[in-house]
Amino acid sequence: MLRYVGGRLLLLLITLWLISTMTFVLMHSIPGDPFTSEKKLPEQTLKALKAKYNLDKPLPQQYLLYIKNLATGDLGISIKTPNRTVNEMLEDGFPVSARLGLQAIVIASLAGIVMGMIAAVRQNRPADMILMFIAVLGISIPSFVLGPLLQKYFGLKWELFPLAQWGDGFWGEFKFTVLPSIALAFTPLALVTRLMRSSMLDVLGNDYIRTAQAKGLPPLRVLTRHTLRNAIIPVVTIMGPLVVGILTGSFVIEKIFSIPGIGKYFVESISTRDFSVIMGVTIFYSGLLILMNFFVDLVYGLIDPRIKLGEKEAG
Amino acid sequence: MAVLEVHGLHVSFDTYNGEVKAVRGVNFSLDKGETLAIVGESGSGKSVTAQSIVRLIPSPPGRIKAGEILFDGKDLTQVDKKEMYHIRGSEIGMIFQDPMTSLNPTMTVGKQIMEGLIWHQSYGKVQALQRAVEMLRIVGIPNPEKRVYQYPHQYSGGMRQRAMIAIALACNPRILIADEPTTALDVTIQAQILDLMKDLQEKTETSIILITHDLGVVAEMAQRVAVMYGGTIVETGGVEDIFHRSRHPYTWGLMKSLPRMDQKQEDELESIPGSPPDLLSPPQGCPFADRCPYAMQICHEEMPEQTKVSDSHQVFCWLEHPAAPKVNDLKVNILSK
Amino acid sequence: MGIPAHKFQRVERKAEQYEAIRRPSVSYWQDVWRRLRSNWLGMTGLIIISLLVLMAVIGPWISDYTYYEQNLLEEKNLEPSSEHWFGTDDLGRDVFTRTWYGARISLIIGIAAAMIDLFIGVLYGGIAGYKGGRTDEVMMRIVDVLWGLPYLLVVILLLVVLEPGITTIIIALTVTGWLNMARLVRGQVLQLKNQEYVLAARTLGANTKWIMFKHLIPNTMGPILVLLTFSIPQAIFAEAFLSFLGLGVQAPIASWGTMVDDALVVILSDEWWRLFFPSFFLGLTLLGFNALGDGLRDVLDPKMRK
Ligand SMILES: Nc1ncnc2c1ncn2[C@@H]1O[C@H](COP(=O)(O)OP(=O)(O)OP(=O)(O)O)[C@@H](O)[C@H]1O
Ligand SMILES: [Mg+2]
Repeated sequence: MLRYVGGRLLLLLITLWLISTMTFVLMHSIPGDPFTSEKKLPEQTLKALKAKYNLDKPLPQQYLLYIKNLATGDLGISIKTPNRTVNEMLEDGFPVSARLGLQAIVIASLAGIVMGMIAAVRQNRPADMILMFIAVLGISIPSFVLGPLLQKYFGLKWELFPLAQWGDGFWGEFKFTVLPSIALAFTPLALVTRLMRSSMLDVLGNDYIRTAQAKGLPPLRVLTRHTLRNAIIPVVTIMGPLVVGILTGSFVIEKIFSIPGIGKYFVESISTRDFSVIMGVTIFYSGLLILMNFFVDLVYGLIDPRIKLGEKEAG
Repeated sequence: MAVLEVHGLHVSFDTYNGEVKAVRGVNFSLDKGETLAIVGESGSGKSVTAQSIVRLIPSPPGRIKAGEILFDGKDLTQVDKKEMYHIRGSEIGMIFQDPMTSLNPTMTVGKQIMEGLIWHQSYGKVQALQRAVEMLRIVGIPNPEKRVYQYPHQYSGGMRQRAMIAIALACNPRILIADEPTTALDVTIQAQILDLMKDLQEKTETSIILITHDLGVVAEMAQRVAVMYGGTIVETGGVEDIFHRSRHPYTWGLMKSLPRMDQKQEDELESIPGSPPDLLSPPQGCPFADRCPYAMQICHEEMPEQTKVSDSHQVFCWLEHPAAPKVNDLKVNILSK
Repeated sequence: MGIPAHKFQRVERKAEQYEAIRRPSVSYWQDVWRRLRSNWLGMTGLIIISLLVLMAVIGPWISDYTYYEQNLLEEKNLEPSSEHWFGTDDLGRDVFTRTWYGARISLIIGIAAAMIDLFIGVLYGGIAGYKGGRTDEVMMRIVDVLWGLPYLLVVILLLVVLEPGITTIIIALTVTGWLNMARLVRGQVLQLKNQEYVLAARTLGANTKWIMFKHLIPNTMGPILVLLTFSIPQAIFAEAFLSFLGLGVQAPIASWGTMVDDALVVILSDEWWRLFFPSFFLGLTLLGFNALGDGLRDVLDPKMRK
């Protein structure tokens, strides 16, 4: 077990190092430097700027400095707004993004599990067809299309939810987060629903369900005690990709709803080519995701007794 | 005295291709403490018959079309769901073929035994746990105090089947339905499991319906045998009747496919040529007619009626008809060709 | 009893005749096609895709306009009409032409990316699975590490740096896109490697490559085809997503993503057609490929095969 966790952590670090190095190499492979596109700056200022960002040093040294800073959690300073550090931006933006993301994950996984369950139990009946239709919509309608639609109809036309502001306190903010959370959760919700449905059907066809029925347990008990737990296992495995989807989805949703989260900073930094912010956000999110996947694996090992963490899978 | 009587049972599955008539008019009865074996080749409707008794056929697509299943004077095809839940597990227990897949992989074996006890006999947790340990000991699992807390994947195949027996017998059911309980196990373990079932039966006077392909198992375990073919029972009788005085050509075929001690190595086991009838559109006559070496025109046209050979022995075959030629003559005829 | 005596005549058994009636032997692909045809989900997907491909080819061609032609003075934001079937945008460009031009871009990118994924994945996974042992372990460790990288973030990073354009997008999408395919192919190859006919071919002295192509690849086709079908909409979605963020194809080239991005103003105004048409056909494309993938999975699933 310990060895397994250790191994996984090592893999995690390697992946993190890889992405950091990759970002570094990519960012430095652009011809010129981040300031070439800028209006003609006086020679003096340019030099000062370069010194500030260590751009005057040889590349290997820059790389070492960069890795050293990363290791201490320092992501550097924004190039375009030099009075802000990337860490500050992340600190500002993360609570907002995290909240949105968490709400979306909760909606997608809970509602998805329930919907998939109902669809499976009512296989080929009206409820199943309606739910599967919703799931098909979810897979076909990207968040960047759903977002504007929700905004236009639920926000502006019918004025059910306020837009373009960000209030105070948990409940103060809540009503602003409803629409973006839904837009963000829709596709993942569809994926979870479909997976849960097929996984339930799979489990329902298993011999041990028949054993449980042969014991005389009523359907509800068979469902809660034997079907659900086994059906949820595959759903847990897509939690990683799900979180990735929601994180990247938040880039466009925060842009559409003007939400001051990390995604908005990121999209802005892309259009202004603010490389240090792009690098910082990429590394931060990658780290988060890699960590997420690690935890998902641990949880997976906990709910499925057949999986012994650290042992090579047998047969 | 019969604990269970099945009369005219018809079971069908509604599939895309049409109605699969899996069981077509099955009759049998089961006495207290008796073991009835149901034999027949794959697809003959053995499992469907067994599962219909406790209404466990998947529905849809399956449904019991007609017939009575009398248990304690109650017709199980008619009782309401609640009562059925009570009967399943506590009055009639079941064991399935594949112990590898018949246990829930994410629940400890102990919990799987306790579940029925808590549900049917309103045992408390502690009591149920004690009983689970006791059941595991009875079915011969070493170190049961520890094993109750283990998951099925920590058990071997034979142990899992023992655990299945423990689950099925935990509530002291009056009938045990065992659907090919040993098919998936290797020979030595097979024998152990059968011994165990026999032992337990003697102690508890449980009646057993044993479904199997294996006539060796039948000889060892059963007092009576029902031979199924194409969704019908073609012959029933005591073990002696079926093994030594069988009257149905299909049963003869089955016997020939049984390996015998006196058989020489080079003699191949005979199998019956042809394939079982299509249950989507079953033949109107005897289901075996297409493969029967003695088939007559009538066999293809009409279902044979029951002939009582003795009180315990019945057969469904046109050869029993007084107008039919004697089988011995036929045999000679075929051989001389 | 009233049964006439002749009915008790022995008749030849029919079993011999029965043996003769076997299913006509059909090739694997014929069989797949036959079953796909009776799978409504898969067929719906196939029909949608065929129509979209058809329109992507002839759509821009049958229209009287081009995707880049602007008419700022007279034809800004026109509603759909007999002149402009899908209306015009804020630069007076014909939305019909742009939508089908966007379809071309989406389909080209989706299919090209999927094909490259397929090529790399089959090669990489095939080698890893076939060689096995140490080679396999090292190759798969590399995949594990790359697997941890968040797909779209890597793509974004590449696009920020590289010269924008269709080729760039395809390359960026395939940089980590092939991992899935490689894993799948490796698993399949490992499974099939020890099956009898391959062992038999090997003992008969067939050489490695021959075995690979003659047996392994065709036998892994089913799951590969399913994954391929699902990876096309993924790439199409990614392209639209990136174009929406301004990282995809550059103006004036029309892509569904950029069209939706440009149309965001309709949240405040009423030019619904500008958002509707690109979104609708993007959605339809995603739907079509997903439906086909589901259908193929049903059809190719060996568990369902009789
Ligand atoms: N869910 C179902 N849907 C359609 N047909 C079914 C279903 N279950 C069983 N059948 C059909 O019912 C017939 C009898 O099946 P059954 O399982 O009782 O055979 P069996 O005698 O138990 O065979 P085996 O020895 O292989 O277990 C078969 O022809 C089978 O195709
Ligand atoms: Mg069976």
